[in-house]
Amino acid sequence: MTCDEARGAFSDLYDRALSEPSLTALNRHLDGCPACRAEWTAFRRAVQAVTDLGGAEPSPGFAARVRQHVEALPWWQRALRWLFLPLHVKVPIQALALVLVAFAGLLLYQRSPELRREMEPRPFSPPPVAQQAPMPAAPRTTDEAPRASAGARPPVAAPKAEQAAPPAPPRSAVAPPPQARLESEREHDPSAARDEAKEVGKSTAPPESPRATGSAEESRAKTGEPGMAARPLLRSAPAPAGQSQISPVPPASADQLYSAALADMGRQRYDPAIGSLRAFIQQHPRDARIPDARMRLADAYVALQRYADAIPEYEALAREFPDSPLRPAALYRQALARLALEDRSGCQLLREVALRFPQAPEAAAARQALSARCPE
Amino acid sequence: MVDRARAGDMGAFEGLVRRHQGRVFTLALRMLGDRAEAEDMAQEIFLKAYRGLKAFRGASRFSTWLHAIASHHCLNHLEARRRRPLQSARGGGRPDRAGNDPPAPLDRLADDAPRADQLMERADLARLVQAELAHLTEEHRLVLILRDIQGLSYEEIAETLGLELGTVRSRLHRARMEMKARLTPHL
Repeated sequence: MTCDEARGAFSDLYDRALSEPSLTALNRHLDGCPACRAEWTAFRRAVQAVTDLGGAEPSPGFAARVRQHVEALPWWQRALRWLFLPLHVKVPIQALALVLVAFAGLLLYQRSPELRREMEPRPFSPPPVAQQAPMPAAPRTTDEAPRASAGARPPVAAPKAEQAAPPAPPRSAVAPPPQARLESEREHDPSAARDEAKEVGKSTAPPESPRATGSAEESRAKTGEPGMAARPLLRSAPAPAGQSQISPVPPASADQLYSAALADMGRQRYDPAIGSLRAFIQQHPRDARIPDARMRLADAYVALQRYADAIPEYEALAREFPDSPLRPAALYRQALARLALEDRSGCQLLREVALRFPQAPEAAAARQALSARCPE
Repeated sequence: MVDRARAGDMGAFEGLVRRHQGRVFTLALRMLGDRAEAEDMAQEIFLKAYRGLKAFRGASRFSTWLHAIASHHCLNHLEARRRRPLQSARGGGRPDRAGNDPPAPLDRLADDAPRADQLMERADLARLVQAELAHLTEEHRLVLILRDIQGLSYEEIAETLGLELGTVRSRLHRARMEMKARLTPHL
């Protein structure tokens, strides 16, 4: 037996757990090895010292205090404890109940046309004034005109559109009713768009003027959006920035909304992500994650090629949070979004990023984009 | 007594607490190294046992079942305390200049305690041993306490902690060897 083997058996020797041959071999080794013998003595003393720590008792009245604690449990907790079955029975019952509830919900959904209609994306029916309004020459102006009044860019087409529009109820011309605004945002959803196309075909609304349709197609050609007959008409009365766009999201905790948005973004489900982020921004304006939420919201719009919607979000982030570390990225991405809409002011923004944030990673990208897309 | 406690007899439950409080408190005290904290912990363990009493079907001895609750509760508590060192009053502390995390409470107990030779001068062997215990990993410390202080057999420890017998053996051996290395200069 080697010294290592002997020392490896100390614990079993201490507990008298060695077999007879092992014990004999170990004893023989210890007899002939003073170093291991000394180690064994030290080992025994150390273990004995631990054992000598011994037990301890809590302070007097401990058991009574525990009983008081148990009896101080809320009545409902005690009732639940004694009424409910053990977990191994409870869990299968709960699982079964869950399945039944889900089944009942599905049945209810299938048998209730009203509910089904509510759940489906609503088709868009364009407001009459918007249909009659002439389309502006540049596609982005339809988006940007109302936003420009709230944002930094100068209004381009909105006054013209208003001037050119035939007499119509003023409230429609200036701002559509809330439902129309919501629907005007839903138009970006391709599935809603398909439904919309069907509904528009069925609707009694007057057909679009050839000029309006032509402008719409032109607009799509520039923005790269999928074609849809009534789509640009909506742009004449878009929702102001900050309003609910995709679908009303019921009030929820900041964490719930934000987590839902992140999850949707991760799955590239941008429409629900936009809804959650909008609701988050509206319902929790003081949350520390607002800058991040605005950035993600704008990114989601960009992912859907809705550059005109993305720009105000980038702008708001850069304007409202001048000290945010996200500011260079917001300006840079805003610049790219503008360039995607053939808006040359994007070049100016790129220069600003390159000059004002030379240390930011976006500065190098901005310089590169400048040389590639903004030739002097 | 266990059956009566399961049926809701609070007197029987208090009797169970009295019978097992020493062992539960000892385990908590030797694991945590702080009397007040250990008493709070022991109380939580008995509350947990009370809540889980319905699920106890007598497959193992009540003391083994209670030891299992106590062991896991202690490990969870130490794990949680390690994860939030800044929030814990006892374990609180900012990282040092080198950026190292503050020592775990038990480590601090050892560090704050007088040096080992001073302890020896005061013949405070128990305190020295408790302080050195704090340097073991929680798993090694637990097995050592269950075996050498609580006197559980290897089989009982394996059942309590849900470990293989061989794992219990090896952990115990390593814990004892480490304690030997730490205590030998002072014994």
